[in-house]
Amino acid sequence: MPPVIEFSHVSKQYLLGAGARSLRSVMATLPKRLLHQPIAAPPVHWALRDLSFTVQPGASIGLLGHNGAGKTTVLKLLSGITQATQGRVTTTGRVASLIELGAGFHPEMSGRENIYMNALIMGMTRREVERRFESIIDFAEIEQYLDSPVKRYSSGMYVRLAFAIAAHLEPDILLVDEVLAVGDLRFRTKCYRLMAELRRQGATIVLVSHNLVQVRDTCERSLLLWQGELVEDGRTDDVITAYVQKLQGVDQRAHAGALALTAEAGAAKATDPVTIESVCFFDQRGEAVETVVSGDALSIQIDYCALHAVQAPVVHIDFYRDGMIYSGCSTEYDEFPLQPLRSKGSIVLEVDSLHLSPGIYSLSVVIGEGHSQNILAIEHHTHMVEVIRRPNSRGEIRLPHRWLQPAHQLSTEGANL
Amino acid sequence: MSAAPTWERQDAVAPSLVRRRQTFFELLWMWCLRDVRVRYKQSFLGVLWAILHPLALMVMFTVIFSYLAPVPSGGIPYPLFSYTGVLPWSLFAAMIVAGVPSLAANITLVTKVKMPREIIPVGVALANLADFGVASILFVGMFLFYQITLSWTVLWVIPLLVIQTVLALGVVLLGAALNVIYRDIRFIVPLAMQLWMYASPIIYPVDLVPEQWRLLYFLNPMAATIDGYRRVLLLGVAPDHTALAFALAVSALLFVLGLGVFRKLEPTFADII
Repeated sequence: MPPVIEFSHVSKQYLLGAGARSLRSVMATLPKRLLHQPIAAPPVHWALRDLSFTVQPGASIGLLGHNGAGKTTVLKLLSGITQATQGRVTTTGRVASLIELGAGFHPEMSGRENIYMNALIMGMTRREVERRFESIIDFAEIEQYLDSPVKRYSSGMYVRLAFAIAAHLEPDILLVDEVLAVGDLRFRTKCYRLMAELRRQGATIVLVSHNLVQVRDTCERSLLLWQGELVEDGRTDDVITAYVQKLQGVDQRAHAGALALTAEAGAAKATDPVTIESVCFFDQRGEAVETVVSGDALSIQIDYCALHAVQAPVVHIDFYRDGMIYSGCSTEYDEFPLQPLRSKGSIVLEVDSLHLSPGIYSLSVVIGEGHSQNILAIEHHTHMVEVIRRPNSRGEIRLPHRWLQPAHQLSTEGANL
Repeated sequence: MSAAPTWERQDAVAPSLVRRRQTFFELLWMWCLRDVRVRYKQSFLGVLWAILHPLALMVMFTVIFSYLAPVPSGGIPYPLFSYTGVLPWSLFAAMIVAGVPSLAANITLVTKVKMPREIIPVGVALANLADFGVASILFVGMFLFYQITLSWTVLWVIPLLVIQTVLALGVVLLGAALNVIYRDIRFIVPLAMQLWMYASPIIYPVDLVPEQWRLLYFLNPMAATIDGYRRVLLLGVAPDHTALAFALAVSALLFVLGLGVFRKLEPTFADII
């Protein structure tokens, strides 16, 4: 089957700053232009460099990458909002994009008017809108607000309406950019069901999301963009692993840079009573790991270096995800008496079964004295561990459990039922 | 939870040209409606503004050029004389003033939505026809008041309107596209429209222009159309055919130029805006 999306050696360049082609700069360079003298080239940014990939119809592709990696630029090229500087982008069929939800909405107009407007903008005809109108409001669940201006809508209603319209375009390619994060769980579920239905009918979906679990659940294949280049293209699980490794690499580098800086700063930092030298993760076999299966054992080792003795140390480690503490362990709360810290040494936290739901967690590691508010050293969000889903588990986490079948139920009463 | 909607998939192939054109005009129509509706919805006086603006101009011109510094109006009552010029001119000026900054005013649409972008300036400009329609009601009242009898020449109003609209759209497409790159355009427009107004026979009759300058004068298509409105409405004679044909040619040329520049620059809009 011919591919529905084809990128061949696509590069996209943006001019930086407003100045590049303003009248003022034209005037300023006019004498030079007239004398055919070279003009200083305006600063440019390559958002994408030499990107090549194809997508087959009916596929579902995840786009991963840090902020500014070029994910949105790919979507904009796909939708035709902007054009490639070099190379060629080919798409087949109707493209519906949810790059910004409700970008075509007018706040003063009612939901009804906006449905027509937005659907026509996206390329439906009036008749098509009329035919699908009921289905759209049904999906968006806004029936009783149909005639209120959309500026009165909640963000949830806004998203629902925008998604409903785009999905009813019968797109051949649906582009979704980080937009479903707004809706509640029930609506997200609905959206995924609808996307699955669209795929069943042969539509192709391109999804951008920072929610790796979402990407994993929706897309069997993913592309990893890194500073405008395509660095990974393959099974979503593999790409996510590569992404996490890259993220950690960056953090270590940033961390190393920060250390170098503090070393330069010299005296002031040298008097710090204690520093955290490294934080490492180990599985039950004692091997260094970066990922752990949900429910497995995990050890976290903190190596410290104390210039002055810390008499009553406390340590705690928190697991953050999406800016929220999911769990944490503290020697203070556990009333575990740590011995005074002197020179170099390590502290180990052993978790028998890490029952965290799948995702990437960043750690906050704190060494304090007396109580945890008196912080001596902190490593905030510089270390990450990825928890992956346990095979053959139902739902996000596997509860520690066992099955029993008491004998008496089997023998008499159970048989009579 | 309601079931995922099901629908028949009819046109999986790329939409045909006919279909695309149909959606274009439907969208244009909706865009105009939306612009008109939003404009009247939010303001207190609503539709009245459409009349107040040309009415104020007409009163002002009448006070100045009928009493203070009289300008000959060829025996036509000055209020009627000036309103015949002010009314179509207001439409023309409003189309340009609203249309030129329209792309820059709809940045999200330009950068986040794929749509035929001509819709934005053209729709915004055409929406001013609603104001024009409302303001024309006053015109009817004036005709009754001054007991002017209309002749069949009134039908000329339609081609005159078409010519000035084509001209306005040409300027709007050109201006809107250039305004994306050079925001200075937006500041030039009000001044340019003022100058253009004095270069058109709004407050004075064409007869006042010296004979040797007429040819140059009629390079401005608005000169022929405004003069045309006066002839067909107030005098009951046909417009000057030569001047009008010339106006049509210049307007069409400007439209083609405007559309050409717009289409040429359009792929870069989302990056530059």
